[in-house]
Amino acid sequence: MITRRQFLQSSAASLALAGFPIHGVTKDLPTGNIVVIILEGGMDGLAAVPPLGDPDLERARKGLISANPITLNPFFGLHPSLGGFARMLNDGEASIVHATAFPYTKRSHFEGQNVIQTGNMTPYASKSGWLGRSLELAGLPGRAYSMDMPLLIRGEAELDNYYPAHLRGSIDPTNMLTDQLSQYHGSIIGDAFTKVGQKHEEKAKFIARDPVSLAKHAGARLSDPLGPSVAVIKVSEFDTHAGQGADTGMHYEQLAEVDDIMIALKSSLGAQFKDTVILTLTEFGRTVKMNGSTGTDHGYGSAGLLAGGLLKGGKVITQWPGLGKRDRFEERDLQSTIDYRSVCAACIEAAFGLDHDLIADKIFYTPKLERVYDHLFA
Amino acid sequence: MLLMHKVGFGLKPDEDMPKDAIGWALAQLANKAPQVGISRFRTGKQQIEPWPEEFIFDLTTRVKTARQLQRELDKLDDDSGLSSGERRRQEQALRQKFQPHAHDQLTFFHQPVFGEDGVRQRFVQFWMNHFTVGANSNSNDYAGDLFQNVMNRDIDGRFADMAYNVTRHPTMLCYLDNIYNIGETSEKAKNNKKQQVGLNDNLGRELMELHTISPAAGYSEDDIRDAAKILAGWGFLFHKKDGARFDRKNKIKDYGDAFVTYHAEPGGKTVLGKTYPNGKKALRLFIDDLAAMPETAAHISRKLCQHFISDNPTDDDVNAVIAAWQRSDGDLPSVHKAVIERAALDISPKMQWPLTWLFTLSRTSGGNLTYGWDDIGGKDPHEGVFRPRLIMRELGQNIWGRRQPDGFALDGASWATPEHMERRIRMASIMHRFGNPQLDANDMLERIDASAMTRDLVASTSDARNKFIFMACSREMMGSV
Repeated sequence: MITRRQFLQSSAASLALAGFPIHGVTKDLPTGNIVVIILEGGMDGLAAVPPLGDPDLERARKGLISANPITLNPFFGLHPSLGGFARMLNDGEASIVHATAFPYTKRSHFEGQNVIQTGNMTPYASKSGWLGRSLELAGLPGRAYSMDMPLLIRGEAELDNYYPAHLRGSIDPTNMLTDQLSQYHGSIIGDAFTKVGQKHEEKAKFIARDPVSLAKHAGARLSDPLGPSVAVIKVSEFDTHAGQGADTGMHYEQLAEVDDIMIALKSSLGAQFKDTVILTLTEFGRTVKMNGSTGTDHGYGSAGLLAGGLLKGGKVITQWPGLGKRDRFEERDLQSTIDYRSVCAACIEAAFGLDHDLIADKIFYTPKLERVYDHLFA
Repeated sequence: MLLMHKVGFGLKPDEDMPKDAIGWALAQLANKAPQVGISRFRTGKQQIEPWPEEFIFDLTTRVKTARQLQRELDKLDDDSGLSSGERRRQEQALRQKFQPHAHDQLTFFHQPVFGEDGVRQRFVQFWMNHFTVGANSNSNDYAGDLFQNVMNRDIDGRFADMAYNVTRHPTMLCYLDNIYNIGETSEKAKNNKKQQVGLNDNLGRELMELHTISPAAGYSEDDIRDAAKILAGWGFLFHKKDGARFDRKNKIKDYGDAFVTYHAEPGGKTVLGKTYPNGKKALRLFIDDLAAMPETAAHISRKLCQHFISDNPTDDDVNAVIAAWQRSDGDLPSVHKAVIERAALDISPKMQWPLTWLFTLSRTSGGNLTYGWDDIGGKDPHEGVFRPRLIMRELGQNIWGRRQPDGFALDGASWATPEHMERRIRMASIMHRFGNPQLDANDMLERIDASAMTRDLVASTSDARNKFIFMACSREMMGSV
């Protein structure tokens, strides 16, 4: 088994920042910020937010239920790894949406991750992401800080990426080099070199690669009104097919990391926290029952964790489907009764002031997408 | 010249330009060349030597080494007198002592640059990516064997054989959790009332979704479940914490063929309407059937074209490769020959992976930025010389790291980001300053058959390092439009 230290060294956490206003392009400065925490691998919503009041819980989730859940209300609890998030819930600064998913049911990681980022229910149909398109609609082209720009924030807008290099002895690219190379190449590579040049006009600070440091950095940058308005943090390793555990184990270490990220964001956002919404995004939930290797396989419905001052928080928003065999999706997974795209749409509406119908049509290509704004923000 | 970069790693400074590019490529593809490399980084020309036998580890040695390391680590765990700092230091020292993967990563860097089978290694790397493995459990202990012995050998045979050998290799079985895939009515399940055991469908799913037929074949969840049942029993555990006591009952002689009946699901299985018998034979039959399905040829042929020919291959390209596949019943040399022939016809450049670019730059200029096998375990031997692991991380291709099973993007556009372009400028600058290239930028212009535009770019500066950077980032070297 890989140790936590080994894992952190090879951890795939990443940060991308986008939505910088650009003089001459941006008409109104955005009023709010959005932070998306992508949970790669399929987050087990039932483990994060166990339905303690559901009569089928004990039997259905044997071996996967925490011994010490935090009680939120008579029906729902919270995994003890999410202590910081629990405090935010208590203060009305966080909410949970449960039994929710993008309406993608084929349980494939790479199709699923594509769909939750593009916002297009046909996998690989789109080269841009729903958040990238939102930024375009809101008039906020900008830059991102990460090794590989996540699909979620790609759009037609000018988005590039940045991640400080560790190659000692290498030169910092000079303007002469980048100018010449960008003219020589033209097309996407030319653009890429142009942005290398632009980025080097700023002072390049070393950014630590662990998720909490990335979150602190994100919060600090987001709190600048002329800085980015979107941050995307990716946390991986939720695909716990084996040895998931109930209180300890990889899944819960990752939830603890998400909790740490939320705490770090709140603290580094400072006054801007009240104008921010943070939401988790995962490709699917996991099976209700344990599989053969004390883990869970890919599922459907999961939970979304939201935080930030924009929320009218302290709620668990759900149309609880139940855990009995016949209540499950295909008799194996938690059903989804709330389209998570509606949650994403509501966050865009709250942070950027865009109209719901416009978002539903232009960003999620689903004009009849339900509006859940009032449950979250009103 | 374009072909040499499209399907190979280009020519060394002292290699003559071949008159028949396709013939050259086919010869390299078929060349069961010896493993070579350097023992130490040297300033000046590198001395290429055969890779030492003692650093070519077979599976049995790898398993024994991993077991021994685990025993030593367990002793550390049991020693409660150690401070956490001391424990960390001792653990690090132990890991340094037992590290086949450090040599594996090094030969992965050496062979393309110093060896004589560049085209062959390009195709091996395609298959390494098609059958992506990454760090999970102790998969990295065995990964070198998968790449050097299984893939590098099976590339001369049929796809079905490679698929079978890869699927049952301990690296894949660890990476996709098959070592924990236990039949629900297996002997182990019956004897383990306390510990819940059962199926894990990770490998079964990816075998169909990514490695063979793809979702286009329309398999169901039941198919995936039965695929998992066929796979249950393949793979071995070695740590007693994982319940490895079965070993006494099931002596494993060949770790590349470890089927543990104790874990297997009894009875027949049905996938996509075909039935498979009880026992070990089922996997071979199942993979043969998957390999024979037309969706497999279609899926993989397209990927081959996307990787070697064009980000948007034509239907003619893809169909030519599919035809070669079907004519030859999945004979990889025939399939790869079709890819090479189509690549030769396509005159548009193809932007390659960052690592491919780096290996090509190194090979064609005669420069080198990596360790030798005697440098492992010590400090960096020289400024600007790096462990392969650091380079792989910096270039976004951390092959031995945590990986998603769908592998690296095959289209060049995904790698054309500012961050990757910045890395190329940096790596080129290090190669020039510390890597001792034997050819300077002007020599290289001749070797890569540079266009007028590229020559102008290089001529636009008088600084030798900047000339080298421009050459390294030229259209010819990057394979860009």
